[in-house]
Amino acid sequence: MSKILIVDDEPELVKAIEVRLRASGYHVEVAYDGEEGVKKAREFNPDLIILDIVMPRLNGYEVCKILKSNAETRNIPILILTASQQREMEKKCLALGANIALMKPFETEELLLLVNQLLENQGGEN
Amino acid sequence: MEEKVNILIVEDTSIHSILRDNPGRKGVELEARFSSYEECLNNLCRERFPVVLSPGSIPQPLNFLQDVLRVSKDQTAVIFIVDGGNTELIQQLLRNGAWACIPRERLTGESLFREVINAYQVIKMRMEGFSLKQSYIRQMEAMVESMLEGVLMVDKYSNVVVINPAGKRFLELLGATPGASPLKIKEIDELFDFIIKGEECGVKEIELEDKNIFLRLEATPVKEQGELIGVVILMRDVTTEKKVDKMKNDFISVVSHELRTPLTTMKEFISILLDEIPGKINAEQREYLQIVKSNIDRLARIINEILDIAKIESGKMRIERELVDVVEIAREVVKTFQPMAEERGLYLELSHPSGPVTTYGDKDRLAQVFTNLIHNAIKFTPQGGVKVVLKDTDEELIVEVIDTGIGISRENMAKLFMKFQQFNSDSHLKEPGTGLGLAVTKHLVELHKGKIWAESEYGKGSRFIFTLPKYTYHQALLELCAENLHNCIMVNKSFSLLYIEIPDIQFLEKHLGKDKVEQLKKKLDIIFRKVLRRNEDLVFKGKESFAILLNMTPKENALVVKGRIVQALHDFRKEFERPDMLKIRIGIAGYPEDGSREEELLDKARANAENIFPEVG
Repeated sequence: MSKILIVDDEPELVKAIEVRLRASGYHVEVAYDGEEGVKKAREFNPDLIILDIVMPRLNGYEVCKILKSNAETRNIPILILTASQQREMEKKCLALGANIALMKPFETEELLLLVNQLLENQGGEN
Repeated sequence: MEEKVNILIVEDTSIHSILRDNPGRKGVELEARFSSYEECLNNLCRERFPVVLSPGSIPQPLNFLQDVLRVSKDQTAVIFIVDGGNTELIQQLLRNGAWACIPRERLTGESLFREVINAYQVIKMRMEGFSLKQSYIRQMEAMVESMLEGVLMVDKYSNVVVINPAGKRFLELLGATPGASPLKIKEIDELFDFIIKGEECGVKEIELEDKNIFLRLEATPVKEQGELIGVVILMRDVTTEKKVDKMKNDFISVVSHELRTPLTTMKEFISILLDEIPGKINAEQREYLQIVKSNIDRLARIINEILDIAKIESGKMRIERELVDVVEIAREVVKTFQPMAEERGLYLELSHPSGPVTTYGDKDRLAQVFTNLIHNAIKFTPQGGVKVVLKDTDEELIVEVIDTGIGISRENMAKLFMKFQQFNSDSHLKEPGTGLGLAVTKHLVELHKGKIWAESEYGKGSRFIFTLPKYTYHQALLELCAENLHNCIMVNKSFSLLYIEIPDIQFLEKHLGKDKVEQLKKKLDIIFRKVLRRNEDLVFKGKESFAILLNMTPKENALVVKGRIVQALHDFRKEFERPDMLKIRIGIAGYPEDGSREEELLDKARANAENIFPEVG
C-alpha cells in the first residue's frame, strides 16, 4: 500500500483529502505545518508528499528545499498545492525538484490522477 | 467718426496722384506722407505707418522690404508698384513678405485704394491679435502659478525656464537648493536625458521614506514647430493613491487565498458524499448535493474572474511568454470539454494544420482563452455543435470557435466584451455565467497583442475569432525586458540583464542527440533558478540562449550573481558527459550604466558575452 503524506495548515481540507485518499486505498499521514511536515517525511518515509505553499513555520518552498537537499528524502515525489496565484513561488518549487503543482480549488479526479501517476513513475524509477 | 489711415509713400509722388483719384469710402480717410528712400526707415522709427507704398525701382528693394518689416516688427504692409514683366523681382518680394506687388500699367486709383484699405485692416487685426496674445499669456501664467501640481520647464541646456510655487516645494523635498539652475537633481536629470534622447514620455515615482511621501514625476518634450526646445516635468504627490493601491492589492491577495481554501474544503467533502464514501445517499440527496457542487464551482469561477479583472484593471496582469504549441493547448482544452459536449448531444471538433504551431505565449492564459470561448459556445448551443479551427499564416495565428447555437442579437453584439454583461435570458441555459468571462478573454488576447471579435447571425450561431501574432524569442525577450526595465526606471531603481548562450548548439545536437540537448537546457534552467534567490528575478529560456532579468539590481550585484552562476556551471560541467563539448558564453548589461533602452542593454550583453570555460578554447 502506497504511503502519502499531506502537509497543509488547513485541518479540514487535510481531513477531506485524507478521507478521499484512504477511500482510494492509500495509507495517509498528515502534518499541519512545514516543520512537522519535514519531521514526518523523515519518520514516515512516504512514497508521495502533497505540500501546501503558504504555511506557518517553514513554507512549502522551504520544506521543498530541505527535503530535496537531504539524501533520504530527495527522491520522494512532491505534489504542490497552491491557493494564491504565486506562479513564481510555484516555479521555484518545481525548479527545486517538486514534480507538479495543482491550484486550489482542484478537481478531485485531477488530484487522484496525478497522485496515481506520480506513484507509478516513482515505482518505475526505483 | 473718420478713421485716419497713415500711409507712407516712398520716392514716387505720382503714386499719390493716382491714389487721389479714387471713389473713397465712408469713414476712412487716407493721410499720405512722403519720404525719400534714405529717410524712410527713420520715419518709420519715429511714427507708425500701417501701410508703406514704394516703387519697385528703388535700389535694392529686397533689403528695403526686410528693413521695413524688421523696424516695424511685422506690423507694416509694404505694397510695391512694379514695372510689369519683372516677374523675378515680384516673386522675390512676395516670398519675402511684401503685402502686394501691383504692376504699374494696371494701377488705378480704385485698385490701389482697395489694396491699401485691405492691408490696413489686416494689420489692425494683427495688432489686436498681438494684445490678445499678451492677455492669454498672462492668464496662462496665473493658471500655472495657482496649480497644485508642480510645474517645471527646463530648456534643452537644462536651465530652469518655468517653475511654479508648488514645483518649488516639490524640488525642495527632493533636496534642491532654492533658486539653483541647472537643478542637479538625479531623478530630474534622468528624466531630462530620457526625453532629450527622443522618448515621448518619461515617468518616475520617488518614495521619500523619511517623509513618508510618494512623488510622481511625468516628463514630456516641449516642442516649437516640431523642434525640441525643452522638457516639461509635472510633479504630483501620489501618497494617497499609493496607499489605496496597496490596500486594494492586499485585499485581492487575501480574497484570493482566504476564499479559495474554504471552497476547496467544501468541494472535496461534497464530492466525498456524492461518491458515497461515508455511506449511501438517495436520489433526492444526490440531486441537492449536485446543486451545491455546481454552485461551488460557479463561485470558484467568479472568484478567479474577479481576481483577473482586478489585476487587469490595476495593470498588474502580466503574461509570461514561453515557447508554446498552440495546437497542443487547443487539443488539451477540447479534450476536457468533450464529456460536456457529449452529455448534451453536441459535436465538438478541432481542425488544425499538421504539425505544431509554435509561438512565444503564456500557456495557461491561452488555455484560459480557449476554455472561455469553447465553454461559452457549448453553453449557448442547444443543438448541433462547436467547431474549433486553427489557421496558421506566416505572421499570425487565427483561431475560430464556431457554434450552431442561439446567436447574438445586434444590440448585444456591441456590449459583448464589456464586463458584467450577460445575455442568457433564455431559460433553457443550464449554467449561468459570471458576466466576466469574455471581458477577461479579450484582455488576455490583447496582452498577447492579438485581436478578438465576434460574428453572428441571430438564431443561427456565432463565430468568435481571435488572432495571435507570432512571436520570436527575440521579440518576446525584448518585450519582457522593456516591461521590467520600465518598471525599474519608474521606481528609480537599477536593472541588470544576463545573457547566456550555448554556441554551436547544432553541433551538440548532432553529437549528443536532440533529447540530450533538451535535457541539458532543462538542467541549466534549474541551475539558474536555484542560483537566483528572489521572486522578482526572471529566467527566460530560448532555443539556444537564456536571459536572466534581475529587477532592482545594480550591475555590481549582478556581477556577483554572474559569479555564482559561473561557479554552478563549472560544477555542472564536471558531471556533464562530454565536458569538452560544452561551451557557454555569458554577457552582462545594466541600467543605467549601459543605456536606458531594452535594445541597447540586450545588444551590449550580447556583445560582451564571453566563454566561461576558457581552457576549452
